[in-house]
Amino acid sequence: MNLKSKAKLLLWLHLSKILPTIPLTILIIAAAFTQANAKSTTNYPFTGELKIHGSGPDFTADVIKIEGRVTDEKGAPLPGVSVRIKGTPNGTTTNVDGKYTITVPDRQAVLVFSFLGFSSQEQNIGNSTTVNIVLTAKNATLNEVVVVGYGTQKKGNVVGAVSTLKGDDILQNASPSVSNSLAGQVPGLIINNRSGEPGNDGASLLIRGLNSFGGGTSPLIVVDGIPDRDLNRLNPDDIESVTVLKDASAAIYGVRSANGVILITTKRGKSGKPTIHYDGSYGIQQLTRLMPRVNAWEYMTYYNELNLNQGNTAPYAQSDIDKYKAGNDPNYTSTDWVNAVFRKNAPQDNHSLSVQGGGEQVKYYFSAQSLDQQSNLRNSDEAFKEFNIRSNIDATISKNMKVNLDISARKEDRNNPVLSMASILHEAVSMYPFLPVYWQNGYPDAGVSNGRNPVIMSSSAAGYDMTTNYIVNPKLGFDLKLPYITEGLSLNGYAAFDYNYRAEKTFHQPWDAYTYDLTTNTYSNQRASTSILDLAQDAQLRNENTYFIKLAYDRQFGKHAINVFAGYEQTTTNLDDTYAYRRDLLSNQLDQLFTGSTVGQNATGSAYQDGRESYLGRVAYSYSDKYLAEASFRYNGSFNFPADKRWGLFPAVSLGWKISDEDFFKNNIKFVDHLKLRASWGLMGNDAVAQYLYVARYQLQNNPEYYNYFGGDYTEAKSLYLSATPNANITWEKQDTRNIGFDAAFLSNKLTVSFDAFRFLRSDILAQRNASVPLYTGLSLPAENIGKSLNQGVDFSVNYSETKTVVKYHIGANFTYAKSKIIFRDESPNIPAWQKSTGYAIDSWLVYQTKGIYHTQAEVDNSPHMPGAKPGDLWITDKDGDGQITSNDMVRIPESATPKIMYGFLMGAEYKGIALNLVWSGQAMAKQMILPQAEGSLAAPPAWLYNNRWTPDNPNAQYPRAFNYNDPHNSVPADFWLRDASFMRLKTIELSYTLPANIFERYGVGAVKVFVGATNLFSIDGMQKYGVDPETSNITGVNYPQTRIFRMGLNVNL
Amino acid sequence: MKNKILMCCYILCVMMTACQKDVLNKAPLDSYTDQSVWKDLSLAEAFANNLYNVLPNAEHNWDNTTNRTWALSAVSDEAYNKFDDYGAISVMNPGNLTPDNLGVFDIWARTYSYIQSCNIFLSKIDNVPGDPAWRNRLKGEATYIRAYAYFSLTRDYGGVPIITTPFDLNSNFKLSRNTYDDCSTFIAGELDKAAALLPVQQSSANYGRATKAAALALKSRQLLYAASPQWNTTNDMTKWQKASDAAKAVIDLNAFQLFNGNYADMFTTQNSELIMVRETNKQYMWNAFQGVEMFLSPSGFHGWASYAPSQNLVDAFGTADGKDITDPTSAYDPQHPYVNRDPRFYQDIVFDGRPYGQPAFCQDRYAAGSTNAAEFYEGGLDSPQGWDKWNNSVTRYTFRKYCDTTYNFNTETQTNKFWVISRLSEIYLNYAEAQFYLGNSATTIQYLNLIRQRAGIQTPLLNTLSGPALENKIRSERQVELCLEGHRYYDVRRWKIADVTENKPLMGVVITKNANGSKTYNYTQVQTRAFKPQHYLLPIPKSEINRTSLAQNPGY
Repeated sequence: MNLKSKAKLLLWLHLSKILPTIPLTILIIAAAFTQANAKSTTNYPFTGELKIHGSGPDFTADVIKIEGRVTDEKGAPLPGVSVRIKGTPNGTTTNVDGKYTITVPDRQAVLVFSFLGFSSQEQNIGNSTTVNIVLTAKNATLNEVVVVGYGTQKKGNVVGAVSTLKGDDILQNASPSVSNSLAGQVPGLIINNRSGEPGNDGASLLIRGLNSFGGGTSPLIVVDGIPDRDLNRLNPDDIESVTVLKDASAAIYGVRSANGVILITTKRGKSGKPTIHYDGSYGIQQLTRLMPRVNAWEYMTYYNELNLNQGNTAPYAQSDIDKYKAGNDPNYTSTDWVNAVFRKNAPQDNHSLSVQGGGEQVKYYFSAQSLDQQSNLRNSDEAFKEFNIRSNIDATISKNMKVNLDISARKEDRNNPVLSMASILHEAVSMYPFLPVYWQNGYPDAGVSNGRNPVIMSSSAAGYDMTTNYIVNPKLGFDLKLPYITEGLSLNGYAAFDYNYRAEKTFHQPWDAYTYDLTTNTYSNQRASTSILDLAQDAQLRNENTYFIKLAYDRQFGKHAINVFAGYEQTTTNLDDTYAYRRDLLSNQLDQLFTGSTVGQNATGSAYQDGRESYLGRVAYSYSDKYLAEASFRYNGSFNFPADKRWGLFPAVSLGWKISDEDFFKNNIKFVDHLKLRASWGLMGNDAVAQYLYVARYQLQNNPEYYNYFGGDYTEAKSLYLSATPNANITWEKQDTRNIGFDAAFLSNKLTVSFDAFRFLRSDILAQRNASVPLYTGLSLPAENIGKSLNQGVDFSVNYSETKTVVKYHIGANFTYAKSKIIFRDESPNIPAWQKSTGYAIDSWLVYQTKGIYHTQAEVDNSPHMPGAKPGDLWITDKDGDGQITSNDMVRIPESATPKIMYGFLMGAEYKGIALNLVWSGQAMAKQMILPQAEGSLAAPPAWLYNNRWTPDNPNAQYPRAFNYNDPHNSVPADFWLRDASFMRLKTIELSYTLPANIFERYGVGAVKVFVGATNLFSIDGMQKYGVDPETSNITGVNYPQTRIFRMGLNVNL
Repeated sequence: MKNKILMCCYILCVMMTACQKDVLNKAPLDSYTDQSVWKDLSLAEAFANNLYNVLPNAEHNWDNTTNRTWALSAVSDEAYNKFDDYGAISVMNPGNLTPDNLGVFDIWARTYSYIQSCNIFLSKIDNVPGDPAWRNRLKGEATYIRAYAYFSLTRDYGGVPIITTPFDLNSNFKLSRNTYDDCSTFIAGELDKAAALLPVQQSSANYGRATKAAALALKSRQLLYAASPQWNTTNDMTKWQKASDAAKAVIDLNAFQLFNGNYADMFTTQNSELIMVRETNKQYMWNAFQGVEMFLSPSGFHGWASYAPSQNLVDAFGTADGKDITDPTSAYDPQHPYVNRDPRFYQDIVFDGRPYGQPAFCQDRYAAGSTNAAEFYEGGLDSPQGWDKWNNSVTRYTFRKYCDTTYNFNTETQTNKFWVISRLSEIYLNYAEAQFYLGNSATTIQYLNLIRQRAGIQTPLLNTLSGPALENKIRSERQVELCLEGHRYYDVRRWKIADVTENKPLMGVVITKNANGSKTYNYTQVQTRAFKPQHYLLPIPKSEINRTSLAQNPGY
């Protein structure tokens, strides 16, 4: 069957809306199986429960009663542990408190304790009547259950490239944004933190690098089955597990799967005694790096040189420069503006409290978290505060029926400076260093103009921008077993109603800022020109509804295990926005709209909606738990495409072979405990592109710079413009995703290895033809399905862990290599061959190649140069050899800002309650451009640039002569400005001490752990001397820097 | 058991009914679609309104508009710009202009995007139902604006591809350049079409929309350019005749009069001389960067002196008796250079000693022991040693033209403002120039005198003036009367004198106050200028050359 007829068939399936018939068909098949295998034993291979059959014959006489308690290494009771008398079928299981009672026939009896995920243990009774046992978790976690798309699987049976993290693995990172905690821990995940601004310090995530140059590249985030919930703002203590689907295992997410999927599962209740857990910490955030800039006399010298270079007059008198240089006159001082704007330390604190427990009927997990993150802006009230609560409740309302209600709610408070961070930082690096922050009498300085002193701009003197975000995410679910139809059949589903109400209040007010005239010794307040008194309120209500229902069949027949489901999902989003503005408030004493003038008031609003719908299913089959096969499909419709291009089929197939379970292997290769070979293929989609590109959209002009006014009184006339030429053929990006790999365990499961090689062929990439379509067409181009890229690489992880009597340690490494390559991209037909991007990485740099700078006039004269080039300018290579330097001489180079290599090292050791854990994260094969003067016409040059700049007196300098952002010779993309962004940084270090349990036991306190730790403690890289963090993506080198966090804290279990 | 099953069914039903039925048929809620825009003249008018963005306005912005209004003064010999707006300092003036490096001065792509919008509009408007008069007016406006777009392109780049139908994704994009003369004929023809569709003047509520007069005025300028030496190498008299006729057609409308109020108010209040303006409103957004007074005023008034008049321009202002200052018989006194000058000098330029702004608005100057008189002398409040000294005017002049001093710009950072696109004086000057080349010196002198008299110059030009002397008078009259209105940059190019005027260093003055109260004036170079032969035109941007087979302009 060719693809087209397949699609037709599926279209028919869809059109006939035969959803109910799918389960029906399965039912019929299932019933047939049930008849055929009526006698076969059933169990639940994926539920993680182990049933012990029978309690044995009743011994009445001469019996010895043994009792005891089974706990894990942390002392937590283990319910459901099988306790068996060796050599007999007799046994029992532990109760919710981990306690058991058993009667043994004699003192020679040996008890065997076994529990899923733990090493079995045998114990002679001897003369004891109490036998307490501590079971140790198995190193190889093959029986662990991992979350996969729309289900769970035994780790040993996973056939996709799936990496998992436990909740505990991310708790050691001090960053309040969860995405940062994944760094260094997951092979295949490329993570960079770009900013340390409170509330905005999440990391950028890529799964196995870049695959598209048009559509979005971010992975889909799914929290508890609901797409697009915020990963960063989850309470880290709530997270049970993180699963990263890196290959076709993500294909079940259909049109949103091609960038990979990250699944987060939150904690749920457990039967047993409730455990109360407190996790609190106090931390100090420091900026990792700030770019040191020149002082006053250096600044003046630099700009004098610049102006003379440009044929202008020198703006600063030498006599003034000398005074600043001498530095002994209080009227001639120098300000380090960047350090004036930022402070060294900013506190953060985090408290989380949870209760986990339940009985047979109801299990619950409750938690609350409060986070307070202050800003490194020195003179600012900037802060991020968050309050998080969660309630996950599971109720068994009958033998076959479970329901659950999960509610999480969150309040985020962001208090940001009213002027944008970009403008404050721009001002901070553009500010004249000869201006003081405060004059000698304490008045704040007015800056270059209009009181734009960044220290004051960042403060509440200029107003505030406060955003409160209320998030309520209820989710209702049910799980109905249908044994009366056939064993193993179940129906389950959920509905989630995510609400997000975001209210932003932006309040500007004039502030005091003074100019000072030295000759007359007068101060002049520029308050009137700083700002007007105005207030804007923006209210946004977003609602995303998700409905999912599936019919599943999960059963084992002898050596055949089958797990099938078919489901339906829909998500819809609606957003409404209302904005109101008034200016000239009566006073700043009451920041309410009604106090503003009706003149110039503005009320507006907008709305947004989207929707996606899917039919999906999967068949997993295994034979003898050795041969594993899985096939999945999703027939997915996206609102974002025209009606005839809306529905797509995304199939996937994965195969696995536990070769280590074969006799020929087992008998010959003893040192290998487990070896599973895997292969997968899937067709995945990506619909992350601007919305509604298939219709001609006429939008109202909302940029005041383009407003139009007519009439005697300058009345605004609304303007409409065509936002993009419609593309009636737009559809999703497709990715052919292939992966082969293996999982292995050696040395009694102490050493585990997982290896994957992948090949992602992305086609129909949604990119604009903006390189080849002539500008004179005036077309505002929509994305079209025109690009093609290939991304290949490997990732692997190696972990070793060892538990001796008192010492436990683990060490691990993970590694990712992903190399993307453009196969087709729209390019200008007339560019030279060396600029074509075909064959190069998606974000490869296009730069001038340089031979340093011209040191002498002779060098300029004797080589091709740009018009106006002089000694001290970049010496650009004449690539095309035409004797001139033009843009034809730019060259595409293999390097790009996205690292091709990302790696991590994990180390941990524990000795008598003292534990040390380290996570190293690193990247290689990445280059970042730092254009040091690109921030604007007044930018203060960084010290490293200034100190080694070319001047006639310093002809052997390393860096160009004084230049500014518009300089056509030096402020250009050149390999000269590319910096190696390789780094290896100690992402996380934590030292903890768990106090002996007996100390607090009598107070009812369980384990108490104290810890100190740091995040981003140090980094080994080549960017240090430029004063930028190696994870920056900012070309001008001006952004809110990344942070290093020191913290100490306490964990208590009650 | 049954209850439970029922309950499950109930849950299922609730869930299924809660599901939306039509998940995928969504429509954008933030925009109109084709179906609505081209059915409703009011929406069509809103689309036409946006086309006006191709016309210059008085905002001060650095970025992606076609609005280089003020910057045009700083890349000619009129003014000095200290903030490198539109690459004036780094690209244009040092002669660094290349097809790779036009910076934001380039208007190619942005202008063509409005042409595409005009083409969409003109291809649809005929089928929009509604009042035919309204429809025709809108059609006329779009026709005018498209002609303006081509006028802008041809004066910058020479002949360009003429495109009159909208492109879509499947169009054949291959085109070549039309000749300059083709373009000129096209523009003039389109302006005739627009003139036929438009009223002579718009209603008061529609003031600022294109009119018949605006179309004819632009046609006059286009045909004057086409007749000028740059594009009329053979000095074809028929071109001059067309230019003359086009100017005369505007004059013969008899709808406009030279403004006879206070000359300075001509640029701040709507008046009888204005043929076409583009308005900007003081906006409700918090943004100080658009106030004309803010960025033109002297530093001692907390302005930025962003565009400072050059000494070159100041010297072009003659004396009160209508002579050039280089004329030994003129009343010019080098010891007191600001005395006895062309009355327009006092209206257009803020110079040392000139009162500026209302005293109430600059109380801090009085508090410091000064007055509202500008102090550009060394040590003065507006000098490099004064207030906000980094914003001081390097030339020691600022523009008074376009500034409204009736309000306090430090408090109210923006004002309602218009940018003059066409006014009667320009038409008189166009007519005078065309008549001169047609050999009618008397008419030339007649119209020059009308402008000079209105300006307050009591001595008319002698009827005996002719030849190069009269030609120079035409040119300097245009330089002075139309300064800071975006004409000079193009005038020196079409006259083919830019290789002289634009290669002269830009001059300023340094004024020293002597002990006896007298002042010494030292004229200094503030900027070197480098004009190369290719700079008569802009290069077509390299990014366009890379994707087309268009011929590049000579020398690039």
